[in-house]
Amino acid sequence: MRETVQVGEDVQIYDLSLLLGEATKVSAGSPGSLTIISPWISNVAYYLGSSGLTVGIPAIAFGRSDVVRLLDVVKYLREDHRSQVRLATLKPSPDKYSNDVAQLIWELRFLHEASEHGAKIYFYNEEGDIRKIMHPKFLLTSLGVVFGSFNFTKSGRYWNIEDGNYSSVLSPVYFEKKQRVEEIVAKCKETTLDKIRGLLSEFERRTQAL
Amino acid sequence: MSLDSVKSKIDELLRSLSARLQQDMSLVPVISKLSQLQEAISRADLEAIQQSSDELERARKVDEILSLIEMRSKMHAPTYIDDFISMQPLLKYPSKIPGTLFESEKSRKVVVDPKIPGMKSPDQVSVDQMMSMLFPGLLTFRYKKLRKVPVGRWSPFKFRVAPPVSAVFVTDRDSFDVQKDLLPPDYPAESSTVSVHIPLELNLSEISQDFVRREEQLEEKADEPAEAESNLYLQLCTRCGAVQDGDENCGCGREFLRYASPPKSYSLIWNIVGSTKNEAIPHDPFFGQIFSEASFSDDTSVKKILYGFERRFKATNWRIHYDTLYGDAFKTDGVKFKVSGKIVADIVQHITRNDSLLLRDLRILQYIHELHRSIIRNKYDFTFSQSLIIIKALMVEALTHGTPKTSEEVDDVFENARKQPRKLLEGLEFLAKVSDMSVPLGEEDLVHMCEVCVSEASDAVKPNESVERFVLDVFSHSLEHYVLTSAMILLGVDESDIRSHHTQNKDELYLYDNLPDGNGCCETLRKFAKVSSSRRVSAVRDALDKDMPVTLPSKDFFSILEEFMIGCKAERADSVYMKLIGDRQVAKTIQASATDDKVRQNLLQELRQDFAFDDYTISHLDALLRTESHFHVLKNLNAEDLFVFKLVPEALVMKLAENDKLRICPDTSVELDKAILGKVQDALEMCIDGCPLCMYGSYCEMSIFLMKYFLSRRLVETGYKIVRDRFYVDLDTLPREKLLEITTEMLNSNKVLYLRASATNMSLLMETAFSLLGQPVAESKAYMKMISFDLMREGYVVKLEAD
Repeated sequence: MRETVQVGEDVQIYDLSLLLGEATKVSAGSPGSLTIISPWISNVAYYLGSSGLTVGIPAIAFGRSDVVRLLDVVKYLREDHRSQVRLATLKPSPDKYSNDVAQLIWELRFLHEASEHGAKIYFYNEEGDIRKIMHPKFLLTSLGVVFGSFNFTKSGRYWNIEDGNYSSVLSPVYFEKKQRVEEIVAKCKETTLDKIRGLLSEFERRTQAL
Repeated sequence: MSLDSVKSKIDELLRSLSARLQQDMSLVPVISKLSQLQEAISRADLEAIQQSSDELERARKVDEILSLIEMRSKMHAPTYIDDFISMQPLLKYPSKIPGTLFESEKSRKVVVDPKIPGMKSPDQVSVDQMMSMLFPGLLTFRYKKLRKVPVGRWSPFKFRVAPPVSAVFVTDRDSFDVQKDLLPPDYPAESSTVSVHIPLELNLSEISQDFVRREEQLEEKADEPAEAESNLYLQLCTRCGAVQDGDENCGCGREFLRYASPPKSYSLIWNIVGSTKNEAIPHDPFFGQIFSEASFSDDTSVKKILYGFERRFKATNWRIHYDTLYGDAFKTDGVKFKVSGKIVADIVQHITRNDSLLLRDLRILQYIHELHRSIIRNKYDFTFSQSLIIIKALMVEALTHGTPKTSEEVDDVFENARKQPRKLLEGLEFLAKVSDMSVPLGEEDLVHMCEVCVSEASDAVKPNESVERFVLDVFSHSLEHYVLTSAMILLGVDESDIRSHHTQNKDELYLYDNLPDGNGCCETLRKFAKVSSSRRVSAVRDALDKDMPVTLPSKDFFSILEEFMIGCKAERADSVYMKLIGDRQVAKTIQASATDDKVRQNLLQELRQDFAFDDYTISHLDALLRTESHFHVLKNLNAEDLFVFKLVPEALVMKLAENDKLRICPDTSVELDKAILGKVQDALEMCIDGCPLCMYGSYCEMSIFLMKYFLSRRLVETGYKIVRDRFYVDLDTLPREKLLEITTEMLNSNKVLYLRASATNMSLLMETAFSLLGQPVAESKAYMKMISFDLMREGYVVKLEAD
């Protein structure tokens, strides 16, 4: 059995399996755990049918629709208040999306809604004078981890040529990656719903001014 | 006429006129003119004329295209390629791209002349519509006044009719021959080969007002009108079923005639399907165990034969055969499935060892079939419904002594009937107390029939190989309905586009395009029978790249089929209901919940929380709880006997206590038992024993009365479980340290794996499944295909497949 398996264009299948696996645990009364680290992040849509996966868990109502969005899963996991959902990304700034404010607003709206449902949002800030950016990407649940170059965006998950790996919870690699995820999250700063709301208002104002 | 033929005609004329010239000199100017004409024709450049004619036609079409473009540009409207295809100069005739993938214009049409003065052009209908118009049961208002295809006289002794020559136009050229042994077993063919005529035209006749009565025109008699479903009444012969509409007539006598709503009639259509040049369709590791072969063929031959109709009036029914067979034959695209002999043998072995109730129920069905066959063989001219009454009568009496629990006990019921055939009369008497039924034989004939036919049926049922044959038939026939429904869901089409076929005693099923040369259904089915993950991934990426909707179906054909086979959702709700009424404390709440909304809502809420039921199950339970009569009927029944009493609901009516009867029908005082029978039948319409209701189709060649007795969801679900068990790992019973080794090995050798665990072992199940995700299996990788949970059945199940 391989400790890690190669993930390529089929990353969407691993993502969806992990997200629905976590939802299944919640449906059975166990708290869920989801951490996403991605410099750029959005409410990625998964095409359930197109993954070839059928979900027959009565409580997971969103599993019956053909399109499952990340936010659907976040909301469902947070129905159990013990579930931990953490999303870490680069701090929103005008140049984050090369001055494409619309993209930034979409990201902020997603983070705002996730935060409203109890997800913890973390922003990474540049440190001192040296321009460092957080660049790794992880999707970590209690069942496995997907890591590699894929951003958690439509482009990263569906368009670009990217590379990555998957390890299940039974692999030692999973625990190494889990530790790494904790280290990165520790370097980020947890933000609040009010701050996200403030950022969102600010950028929306800017768009209207344009 | 071509120029060459004109020239030869002139030559011929010149020869004949020249011969007569000596007798008649006045022919000289005629011959001279003809000679000039002959010379002119000889000088003509036929090729150039033809070319210029073609050029002229092309120029005309180009002109049309130019004027179209000009017109559209004047109107600032866009032009589309489809507009030009219809005017393409190189096309010999105007052609058009079909609006949708499955809508073809190639369907053969039958001309219908309703004989309406002033109607400019006659109607045209497809062959399927023709089939339903041709059988004389259909009285139609489609052409304003009441019309039908004339039938003429039929004999109550032969039950055969033929539309008069004036009603159906056929030619010798448009017919095909069929061997007698390929026709339905009950069709009384008189020679070894029978011709089937393809109708080209139907002529309808109007039903004269003299024969039609409106409600207000009828005399007010206690027993008339019967079955008042509309305010239109015709005289019907209660002996032979002929409607006295000025066309159908019989010689049975006036005493049998009564005014009634037009009776319901159902066409009997037989199909003969076969294929050659088969190409295998993509393989599925699970269904490879059920179908030993699945293949596509663009050389699938279909013969549809209309051989009669069945007419129903109240409890009486008649099957009328056509003297002349009508139908259609064509080649099209089809998919053939061959049912594996091994799975059938395994099912028989499994139910023999482990499922005595299913074996019992199949035994009863087998007796029904063999008895009907024997009745037909002995020329009693019974319809299937009438044979069923005989079975019911034999069983209703036996059920008063207890419900048979095994197939041996079913054998005993029929053994007793063989020994004491007069018991049939007692049974019929029982039935007559609670239902309207009619059997067209006197008492002594019935006893004789019982003696002969029950013996024959018993002899046919007893041999072991007959069980396997029967299971093959029922299993294959049920699968046919499953594959058709799955195909229709996949393709988003209905039975007018795609049809299915299963020949009795054979292991082959067919799906075929219901159109000569195909309409794309089976071709598309072949493409999407099995869709690999890599194809799905690239389709999604392509679709996003091109900003188009995803073009793959969300589930492939085999996934849809598997979802069907897993089990019926309604059955779960029904099973829960039966379990609940078995508990005395809960039963009281159920009784109260029928009238008290608050009690019902609380009960449903508790069930939702305790058993994690989905909305579908809850709403199904809600409907059951609301109906109070269900409670009073079903509390008297063991769930395991549901199948038996569904066949013979009259027996349950007799078992009910007087108090329950009054609760079931509180407002009825006259003929209480007959009123209760309806309520009992409603309550028994449960999906609990794998009822095949949702598998019914409109075009099953077994006819609508027979097919439900030849379908079994339970058998299919059993077959499904047997196959699944081959790939099944129960985590609750496996040592944890060997889990990964065993599951990896199974996945590698079978390419498919089902992991199951109870709710307490759910975490272990998920960890195991996710450790297998993405692992290499031969040339492929393992992906999850299904995650499901059902507390009442198996707990959690995850399916992984090498893809």
